[in-house]
Amino acid sequence: MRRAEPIDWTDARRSLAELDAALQNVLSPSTERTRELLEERAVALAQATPVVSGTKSDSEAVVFSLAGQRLALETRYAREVIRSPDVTPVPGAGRLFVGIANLRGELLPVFDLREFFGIRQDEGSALDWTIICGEDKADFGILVDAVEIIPMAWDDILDVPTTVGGTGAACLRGVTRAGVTVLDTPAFIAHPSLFPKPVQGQSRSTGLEV
Amino acid sequence: MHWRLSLAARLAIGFTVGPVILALIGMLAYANTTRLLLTRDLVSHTHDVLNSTDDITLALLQMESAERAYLLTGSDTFLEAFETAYASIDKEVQDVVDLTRDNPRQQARLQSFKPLLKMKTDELRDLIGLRKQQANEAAIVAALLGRDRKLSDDIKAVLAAVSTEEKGLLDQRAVEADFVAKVTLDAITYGTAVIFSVLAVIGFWIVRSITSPLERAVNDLATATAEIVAGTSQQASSIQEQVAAVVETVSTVDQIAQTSSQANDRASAVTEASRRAVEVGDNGRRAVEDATSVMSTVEQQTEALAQRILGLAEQAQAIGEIIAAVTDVADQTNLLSLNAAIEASRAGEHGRGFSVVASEIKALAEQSKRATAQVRQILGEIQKSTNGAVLATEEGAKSVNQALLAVRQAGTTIATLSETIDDAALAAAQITASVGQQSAGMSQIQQAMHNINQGTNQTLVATRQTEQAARDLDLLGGRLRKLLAGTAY
Repeated sequence: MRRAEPIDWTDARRSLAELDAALQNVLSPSTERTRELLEERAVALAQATPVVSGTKSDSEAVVFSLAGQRLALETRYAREVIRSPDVTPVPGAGRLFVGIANLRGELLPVFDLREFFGIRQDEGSALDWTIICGEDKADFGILVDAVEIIPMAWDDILDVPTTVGGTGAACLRGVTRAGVTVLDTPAFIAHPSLFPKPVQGQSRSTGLEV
Repeated sequence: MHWRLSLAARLAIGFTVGPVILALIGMLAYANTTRLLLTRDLVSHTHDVLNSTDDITLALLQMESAERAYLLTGSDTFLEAFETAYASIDKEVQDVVDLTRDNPRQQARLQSFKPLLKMKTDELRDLIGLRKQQANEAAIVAALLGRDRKLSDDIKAVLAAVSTEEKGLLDQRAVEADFVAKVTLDAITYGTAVIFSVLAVIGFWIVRSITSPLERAVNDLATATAEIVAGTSQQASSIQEQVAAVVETVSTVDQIAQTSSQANDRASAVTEASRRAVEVGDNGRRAVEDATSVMSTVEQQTEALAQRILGLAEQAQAIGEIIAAVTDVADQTNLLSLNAAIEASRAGEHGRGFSVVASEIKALAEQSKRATAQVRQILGEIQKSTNGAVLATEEGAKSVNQALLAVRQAGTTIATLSETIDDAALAAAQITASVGQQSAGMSQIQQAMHNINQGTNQTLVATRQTEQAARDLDLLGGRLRKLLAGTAY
């Protein structure tokens, strides 16, 4: 039995009472406290309205993480971010083509880009999120670990060798100073690997209505 | 056979043979003396007969004389003498008849004598009658001359025959008396010699039969005395050793008695101590019972505590679920803000304000997520603490159970100990009793040892006396030997 300091029960009871009072204070703040909080939030909101320069090249980018690598995608080609849906595997497909997912009644192919970009698959990668890509309509989904919207200076991209390569090396534009690999989004979208062979001569662009 | 008779028998024989021979000699002498007395009586008798015969002869002569005198004188005085002689003759004849009644020949002679006497008397009386009738002298002389001589001779012959017969008897009896006297003398002489020689032989025999075993007995006595002396000396020395041993034993017994007394005291102390131990054991048993009851209460309270903590864990679980829900909401909000930002970005310049709103929502969502993450972390710590508390409580409950078991075991141990102490107390009491008995026994042994010591000393004294007596006996044996050496030859 662990030898412990003898408990001062009076002190313990007093501490419990204080903690209870503090909890009540937090859960049910007083009127002054409520007003203070509201004012703090108002100030924060007032300060958090940055005026972004309107150059096209300074637009935002969708940056996703894939097995530790960060890749940037033009917002234009990103339609939606969802939690990874249930994917139905397709027989005979490669590692890139994971399967078919149902997005609000529309069937979309879902890809795992790690092998495509030459990223090691054994790194911890939950692939919890799926980015629905497509300019006018949803074309396909890519499985990613995390998604964020960050401002991107499209002009300031360094054309330097990157750790990302593989089959998709042709779809890369360069690396930002923050170390984000920037995709050549139009080339990426149109890459033939992302268009599985048409089944029974049907074009992949023809969404299968359910 | 020489040695088979006992000394008493030999002495009896020795003292019997002499008197027997003496008695035989005495009997012989008595018989012979009796015979001699008888012979003397017979001789006297014969002398009487002879005297009577002589008296008869004399009386006849007196009668003849008196007759002749009367014839001559005619005096009646002689007539009276005649008659007196006649009377004496008759008496004497009768005496002789009486005396010789055992002899038929003499009786016969006397019977033939009586007519002759009558005839003689008548002849005499005839002349006396003639004288009285005044007859002349011639007639008387004629008558006197005419007498037959033969009658007187016959009377004389008969009387001589009687006398001769008696004399012959007298000679015969003298010879007999001589023979008897000679036999008696011989018997006395030779008997005395025989007695002396027999008594000498028997005396030698008895002396030999006394002295020779006595010599052996003296020798044996000397040997036995020497052995007794040696034995008593050895006995005396061993008794001295025994005395030493007894003295040692007495001192040992005294020590043991002292030790026994100390043991008695100690046993009493042990009894007292065991009585106190019994009290302590009872107190211990009560303490264990109290501890058991307290432990049971602690066990119940620990169980209640565990229940409370489990309730707390369940509530923490509920909070966790709520937090999961809040996190989910924050994720959804984040996702919404992301999509809103995408939409705003795609909308270009028109969506710029919406983009701001989206980034605010995203900030809020992230703030909310951080808060919930903190809450989750705190909750995790709470859960850890709760788990730790549950484990600790479980350990506490186990410890309480173990403590309860330990206390019960202690109780059992104390009960066993108490029983053992009871047994020990009983044993101590028994030991005390035993030690008391032992002490009493020791006192008796002490007394007995003192008695033995006394007795041994007395025995020593007695043994020394015995030794002295044995030495005296040895001296006595030597003296007896000397005595025997002096008397044996």
